Amino acid sequence: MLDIVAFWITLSLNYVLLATGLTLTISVMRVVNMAHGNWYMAGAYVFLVLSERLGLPYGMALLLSMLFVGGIGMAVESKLYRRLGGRIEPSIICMCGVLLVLEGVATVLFGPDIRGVPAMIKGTASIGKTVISMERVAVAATALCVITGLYCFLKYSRLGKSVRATAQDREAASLMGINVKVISSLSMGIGTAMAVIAGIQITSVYSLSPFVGTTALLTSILIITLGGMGSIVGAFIAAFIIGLSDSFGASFIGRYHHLLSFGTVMLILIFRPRGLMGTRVEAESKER
Amino acid sequence: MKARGLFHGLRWALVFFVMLSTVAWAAEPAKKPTKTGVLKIGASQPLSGIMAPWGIPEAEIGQLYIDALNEDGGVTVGDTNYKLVFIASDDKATPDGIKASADRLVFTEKVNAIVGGFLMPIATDMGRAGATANIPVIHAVREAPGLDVVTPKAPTMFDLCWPQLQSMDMYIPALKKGALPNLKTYALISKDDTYGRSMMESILNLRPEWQTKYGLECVYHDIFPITAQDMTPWLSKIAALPKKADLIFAVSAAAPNMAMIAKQSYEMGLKVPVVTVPDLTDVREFIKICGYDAAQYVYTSGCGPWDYPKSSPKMKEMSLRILKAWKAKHGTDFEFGDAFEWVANQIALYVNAIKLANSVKTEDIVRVLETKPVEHFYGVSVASGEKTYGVRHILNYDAVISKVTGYEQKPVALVPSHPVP
Repeated sequence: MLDIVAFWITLSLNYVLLATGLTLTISVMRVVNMAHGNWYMAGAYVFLVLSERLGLPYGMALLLSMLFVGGIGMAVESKLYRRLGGRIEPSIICMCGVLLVLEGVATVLFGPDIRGVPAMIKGTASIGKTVISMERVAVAATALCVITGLYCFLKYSRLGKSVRATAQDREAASLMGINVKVISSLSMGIGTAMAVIAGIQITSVYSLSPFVGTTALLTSILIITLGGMGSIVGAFIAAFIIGLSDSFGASFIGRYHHLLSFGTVMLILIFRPRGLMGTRVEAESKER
Repeated sequence: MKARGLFHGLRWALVFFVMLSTVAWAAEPAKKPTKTGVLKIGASQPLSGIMAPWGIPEAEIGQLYIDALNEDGGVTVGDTNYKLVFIASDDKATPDGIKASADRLVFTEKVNAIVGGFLMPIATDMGRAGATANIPVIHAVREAPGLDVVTPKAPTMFDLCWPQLQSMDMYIPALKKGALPNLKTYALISKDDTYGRSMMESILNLRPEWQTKYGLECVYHDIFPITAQDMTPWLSKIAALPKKADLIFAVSAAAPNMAMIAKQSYEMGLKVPVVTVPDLTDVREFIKICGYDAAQYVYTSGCGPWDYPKSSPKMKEMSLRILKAWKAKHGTDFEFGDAFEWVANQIALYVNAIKLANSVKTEDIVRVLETKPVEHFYGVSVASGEKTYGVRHILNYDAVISKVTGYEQKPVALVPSHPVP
């Protein structure tokens, strides 16, 4: 049982890391970033090039990957998404295009095969009879640091407050002198950078290929839908709920455990359509 | 005396002259073909999506093989010399993709033959398209029991299948005989797709036979989702079994699943052989993911024809030539021997069947494939008779089980194909 609990906790924190970046971009841009999973994938490949081919130390390669891919994310937001004027359908189509471009470029440059990504820490630790891989522990620790850092940034920093204000009411924020275009780009950059961290950490536990982005995206969308669009705390709780059904479900139900995950999400949404921590204001502003 | 000696000398001179003339006549070069033609070979392969790690290298090796055949002068039939053209079409390993691929190859590209294919719908769509256009179709799909209702009778379709699938009933017994004599129990897991479920079903049906004949007991079986990244739930159960499993048979596992099974089973302390049927596409990357020590427990099947016990010297040489061409193109060594086992092998079969038939007509090629042994990269194929599950012809050859040894895969056991009835 202890190994299943350990699996649950590490899996859930994986999901937290995955979904947090998407939550941030949704809250500001009001559109689901369909390319989120492939930013996760692209970041891992950039890290691979920096750490293996150029031989940079782990930390430096991680930071540079975040800056590089985050920068591309910001450029894509300002040059592509923003031109669509916030219209949902064209934005989604555009993001799907970015998704396909990223996947295609990765396939051409790196081939379709799975690859190993260097882990921050290697080895295993034993608690009684339960063995835990240190890579998972590193992912869990990173997830906690990232989410804590993001929470503090949004709550206490001036820039974070601008992001929250833009997420709450774009027009009002603009009237208050906040440059919403810069905030949008910044949010996209931060969200993409967080996807990069998730990609590097999670693929070091499993494996990397140009096609891992789709699963990452679907999991992220499930989590943010359950947690409430734009709510980081909601995403955290939702990640643990879905992690619980995935880990215990896989252990006791087997291959149909996805029914448990999706069934749980559906049930919660029936009684709480805005998600666990979604707000009524959001629902009303959407109606407007 | 002198006259007799002269006569004797003249006689030998005459004999020598006749011999020389005979040799000169025999050595006279064959008449050059007066006509030229093109033979288009279409290949339906997953060039994108989750199966692309297999599809892309196979298509590339197919192209390099075609290039080598053209360098050697192409294929000559009668007074026509044919240049070979290879057309790879992306079917994404999805039913819709295969349908579109079939139509594209047959009706747009108008190919002379189709090779390739991974999934059961291949038999439906390629067979349909091939039968309509009356062209040979050589694929590698093993139909599952009970699925014949959806596959058409296609008289020009041949299944040059992965022999491992045809000889699944001998797979673990052959491994026990060849490499693991102390094997007594096994745990069976498979991914949840058409292949995985049908292979799982085949093995489960074999349990009584394996137990009585070979003393092999199945102590666990389950199926995992194809998207499963983490194999902990299944491996935890295997680790907790009251009767220890001597081997984990991940009968159908995609590369990411396989890497996790090898890695996590080792981390959990299971440290038993982990066996799968698909070959590893890149052993070094696999070792990077799961770790060197964990990888040494891994058995797969398939190997390059340069290592295959029944490949002819000519085909071994051709395979090495293709490898050299790969290295010249990519700058890296190519180790995924299994890539020869599908498209390239099917091309070899088609081309050699043309040569044997001395004809490019479909009916002649079909007759040869049905009745004669035809050489390919892994030996010689013999038709095993008509039908199974809507596929009229299954062509047999032996399989090989390989083990990760260091940074390579080395053959350790032979899985004999079924004798031709």
